[in-house]
Amino acid sequence: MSTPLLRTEQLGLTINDRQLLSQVSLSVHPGELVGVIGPNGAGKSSLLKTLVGLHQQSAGKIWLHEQPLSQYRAQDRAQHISYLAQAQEMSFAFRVRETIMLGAHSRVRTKHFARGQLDQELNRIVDLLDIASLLDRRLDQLSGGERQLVHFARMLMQDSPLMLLDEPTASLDIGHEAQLMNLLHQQCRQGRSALVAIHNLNSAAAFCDRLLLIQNGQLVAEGDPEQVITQATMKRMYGPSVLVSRNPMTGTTTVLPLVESQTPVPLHVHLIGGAGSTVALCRQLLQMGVRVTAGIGHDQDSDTQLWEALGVEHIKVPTFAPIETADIDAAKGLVQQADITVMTDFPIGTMNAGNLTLAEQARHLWLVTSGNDDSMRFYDDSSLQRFHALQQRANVKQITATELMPIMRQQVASVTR
Amino acid sequence: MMQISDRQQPLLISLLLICTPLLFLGYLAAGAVALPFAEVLSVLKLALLQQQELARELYPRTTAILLHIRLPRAIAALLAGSALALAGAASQGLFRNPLASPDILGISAGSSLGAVIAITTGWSMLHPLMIPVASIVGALSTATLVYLLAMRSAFFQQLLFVILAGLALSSLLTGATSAALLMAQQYEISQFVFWTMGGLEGRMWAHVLWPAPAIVLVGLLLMRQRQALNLIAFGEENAHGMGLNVPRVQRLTLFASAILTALAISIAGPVGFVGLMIPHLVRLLIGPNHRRLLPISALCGGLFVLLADLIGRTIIAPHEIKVGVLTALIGGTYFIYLIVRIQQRGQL
Repeated sequence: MSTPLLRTEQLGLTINDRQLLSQVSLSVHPGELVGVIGPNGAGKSSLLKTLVGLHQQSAGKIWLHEQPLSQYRAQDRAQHISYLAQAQEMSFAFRVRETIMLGAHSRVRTKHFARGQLDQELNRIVDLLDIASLLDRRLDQLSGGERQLVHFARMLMQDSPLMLLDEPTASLDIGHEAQLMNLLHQQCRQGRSALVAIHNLNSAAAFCDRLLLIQNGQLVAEGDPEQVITQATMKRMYGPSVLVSRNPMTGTTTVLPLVESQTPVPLHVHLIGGAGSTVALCRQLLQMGVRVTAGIGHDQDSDTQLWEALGVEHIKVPTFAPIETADIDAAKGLVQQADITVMTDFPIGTMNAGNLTLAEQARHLWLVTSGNDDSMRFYDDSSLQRFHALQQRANVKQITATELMPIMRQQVASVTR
Repeated sequence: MMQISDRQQPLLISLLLICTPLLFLGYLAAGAVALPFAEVLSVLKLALLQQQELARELYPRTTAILLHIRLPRAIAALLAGSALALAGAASQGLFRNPLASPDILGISAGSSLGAVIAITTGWSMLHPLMIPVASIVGALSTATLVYLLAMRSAFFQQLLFVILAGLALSSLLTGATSAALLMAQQYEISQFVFWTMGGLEGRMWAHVLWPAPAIVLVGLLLMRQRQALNLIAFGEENAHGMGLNVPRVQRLTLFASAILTALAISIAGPVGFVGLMIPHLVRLLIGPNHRRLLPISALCGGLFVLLADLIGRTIIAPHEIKVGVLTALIGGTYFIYLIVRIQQRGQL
């Protein structure tokens, strides 16, 4: 691998007897977009400030291009690292053009530029960011998103190979956030590197090549977004109310907040389903405080992943393996205990036909029917026959997907009363 | 009043550059004794050619009034006004606050204490330069004290600390000044009160010549920080990121503004409102870029004090109104008018 632009070894920072960072060793290589994530007060900002020399580290070493950071004069350092602070001061209403041009300060101080050269650079940058129309406006006349783009342009004008950005998208709407992160991503594809403290874990997972997870001033995880943002690490960072999943549309890791469950209600519901049909139901039941068990699911199926993530007791079989009698026996106990077993309208084939056998064990079975033609869900006639047999049973209630939640709420209300 | 466009700015600057010599000549000609323009020009020409003897022979009265009274006084007005406005513009930039001025650091309070000591001890009777010298000693000691206090705060970042230290020191010194006045004679109190109004009457070459080179030197030093102050406008952290040695610029600007203010006070006494109002006015006209703001503020400050003193000398001649009174009256009135108009436009 190439030599790192920036490297730290056992970095520590103590301010007023408070240990803000300890033993942080990291490196940033050319072309990398590295995200720094972690809860509030974890030390993300302190890390960035120390790396740009705003704080003097109390332990460890920082190398910039294999030279100690402290050996750089301010204007030389600025030609290697640029920095965008978290909060943007706007005490005086500078014009956009003046603001962007200030970025070139350190270069103008040390190099000679031909007449008009910097103007050309500026025009290229504003075209790239699509803010040419703002050039003669005053900063106080811009929206928050536009202003942040101007500051990013100022940063590009500094033309440093490494950019440090402290929560650049914190106050932006989702459109501007995506625009800024895409621009940053694009800059890194062209050879620059960036270290970004970022609050939005979904953005971090979508845009960053690598993530550093900071907690209590320590680097607790590092690697690809999928390796760093896991249910286990997120639970440790943010408590149990977050859910990590993989977005089926984009394939990126997604983190969502969960509504916390209410006080427990004395109702036990067992869910039989697959192909994502229990996901919404499972979350709603948990939020109502119902005890939920589930199975039999297939490993890697989205339902099974959710049960795992939410800590729902469940029975699962390996991917592409059929449900065997032994699995049914294992799940039987849960179904027999459950006050209600809900079987959702999911496709049933040879691999999961065992779930029909399981459903037969239920004390009260709620069959969710798709309304028009249930036969489409079954790959063979024998399964369909067994489904029809189930429908005839006395302890079976047939309901449509839309009726399910209202009736379930009534049920919960009746047991709470 | 709106910020004027970029195309209009050269126009404004040339207007200012034309006004300066005209106002200067007008100041020299007008007064309790009106001097003919032609004579004023001739005497100036001869003086510049080192032929004062000839001038004295040709126009004895004009030469005497011009070279010994009005010229030093005009230069004093220009120097004091420029120094105050420049120091004001720089400290507003440094503190990123359009209402800051070196006054909040206790500089004026320090110079007042210096002056009151010179007056109550009777030293002011010994030499006409005693009050200016005492006031500048007071101002510089205060500046040094604030500076030493400020150096205590790590990385010089806590500007709030500097402001609070300045405020505390300011009330301490004002208290000491009042205490000194308690024990003073009636005529000494009057003398002090007159001094605090700020005035240029009786300013001679001796008052002007020694602070002039210092004002020019420190002023140029401050001018060199123009671009640095632009960076600081975006916050210390961003300025640091853009490659500025922020603590160095802060120290330099703070101390240079304090010295400029002290020097201006030593020439004209504490002339109010120039340091606060002129930079603010100029910023409204040409925008906040310190590259233009600093030099144009200096020019406008000088012109403003010159104009105020011209009015003060002529309006009820042969009596005079002290320049500090007029700057406060003109400045205060115009400033109120300005902020009301701006507020009506919703720009404040």
